[in-house]
Amino acid sequence: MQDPTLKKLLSSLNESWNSFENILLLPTHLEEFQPFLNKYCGLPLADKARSQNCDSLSKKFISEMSQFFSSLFNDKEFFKLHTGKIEHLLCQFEKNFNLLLYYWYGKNDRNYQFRTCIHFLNLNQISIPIFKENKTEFSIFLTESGIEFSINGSRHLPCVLPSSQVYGLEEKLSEQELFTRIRAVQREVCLLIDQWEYINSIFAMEFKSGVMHFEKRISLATFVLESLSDFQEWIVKLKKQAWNEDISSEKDALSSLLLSAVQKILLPASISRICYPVELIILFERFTRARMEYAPEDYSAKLMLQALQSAQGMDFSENLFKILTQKPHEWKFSFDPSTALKAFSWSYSQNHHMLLCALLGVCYFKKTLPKKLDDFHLIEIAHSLQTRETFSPQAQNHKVYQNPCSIPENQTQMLFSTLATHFKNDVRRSDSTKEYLDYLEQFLRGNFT
Amino acid sequence: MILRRKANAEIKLLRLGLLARPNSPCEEIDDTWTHAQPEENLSPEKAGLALSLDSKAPQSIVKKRYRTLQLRYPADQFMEKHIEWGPSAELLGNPKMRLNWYWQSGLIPEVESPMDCKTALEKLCGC
Repeated sequence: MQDPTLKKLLSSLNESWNSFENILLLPTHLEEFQPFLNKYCGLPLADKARSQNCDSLSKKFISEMSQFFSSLFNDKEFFKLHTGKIEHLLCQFEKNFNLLLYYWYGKNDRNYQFRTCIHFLNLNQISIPIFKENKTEFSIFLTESGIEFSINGSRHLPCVLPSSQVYGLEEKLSEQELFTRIRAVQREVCLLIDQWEYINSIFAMEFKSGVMHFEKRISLATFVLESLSDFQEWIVKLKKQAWNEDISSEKDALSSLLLSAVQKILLPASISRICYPVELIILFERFTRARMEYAPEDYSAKLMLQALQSAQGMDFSENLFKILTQKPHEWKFSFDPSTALKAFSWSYSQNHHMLLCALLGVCYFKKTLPKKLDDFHLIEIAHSLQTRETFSPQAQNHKVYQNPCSIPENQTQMLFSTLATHFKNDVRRSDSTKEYLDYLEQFLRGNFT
Repeated sequence: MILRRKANAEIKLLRLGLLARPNSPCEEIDDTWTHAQPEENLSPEKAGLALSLDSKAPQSIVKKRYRTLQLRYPADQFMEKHIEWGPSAELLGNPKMRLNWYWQSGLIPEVESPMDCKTALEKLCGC
């Protein structure tokens, strides 16, 4: 299944991995590295007085890297292949390599990663040539997020293979093995959440000094989302067989963990108003569909799917209106979809946005009956409505669709009248919620005749 | 009377420095700098040991244990054992709550991954 050339490359990498690790451990030869490592928090030191030792070590690092990759690709046949094929192979190899760098840490210290070496030796965006054939130059760019293979100096963001590829997500496993594997996958998802939060905090810190990292965040989100979608699809496959109680409860725990991970990825969009591009929207949709297959009665996943489909210009689905007539035990509300609604609200029409927020409101009310609606839920509805205007129209990827809407008039009337009744009867009026209630009543009056 | 004389004698000896003075708490803890989160806490298993939680047991065993404990400690007599929002050692074991607990507790342990670079490399070569 895997390309034989790629397989050969990977096996030669396996044999020579120790020598590569020695290159990565070069910084330990300097005394100044240990204090650097103790203080390191993901950012390069702003104005580092470069010592001479450091410079000579950087040069040694580059030369050894160059030697390593030249010997790895020493098969002259490789570079005689068709350029398109070489590009494809290099891309695949880069993904595998960057995944290994994601897992690598040195000296039993999780702070000592590839990133640390690059920042210590100040080698960010340095290019290392490895081969030249008929005027095509093959080189490597060292970046803090990994290694980039480049043909004739072309740049892209380092791609990473989703971490689900190393976990052997099969269905034919014994119960003991499956139990261990689900636990291992739970820990991997925790690590992915950790990585996302860590890198995002670095972006936030760099944003303060005016540096935007739009593409880096997108590539990180792609990596994490692909892994999460793979894991979710795996537990969907597992669900088809009947397992004992232990494994079912571990599977349920994994699915809720995956949901919280996806919520975290939505946060930069919903809070910092970043417009995610369509590739990410498609990935989110893949995850949501897998989630809907896993839990068909989950209404919040349906709302999220509708938000994602509207963000791609599609119509509004009438399925969502069933909630107005269904009994409370026929549907579940397993996570808060307001983050998803806020994250993509900039890309669809006002009509769709109002329908989605109205449905969200109805969900909240129905789930808190017979108690009155909590203040924070009320505030969530108002914020979801408002978020659409707060996105800046000059942002990247900002393309607004004019979605068709084929929902019959009587359904929308029923929706808004139900919402109006709830607002009349099931809301606690107080000073803190007064302005939100006024805003929402204005919204209802604008839509309900 | 005798105790007071003994105490006075001790004070004199302490003042003269002839008696070993016990260390103050500050002196015992010492003022060398260490990481705020020492490595002992940096994994769920070790944190669980510290809180005497068994984080590894599967759900069915936890339920059996819960049943025995419920029978052993009825709620009306052992109220403190039935408080749900604390890490009541024996009663916490539901995997959903376990995962939630570690993220909400503020003690963010560094999750040990069973996957490391070498295993990943072998896996990628194998397939």
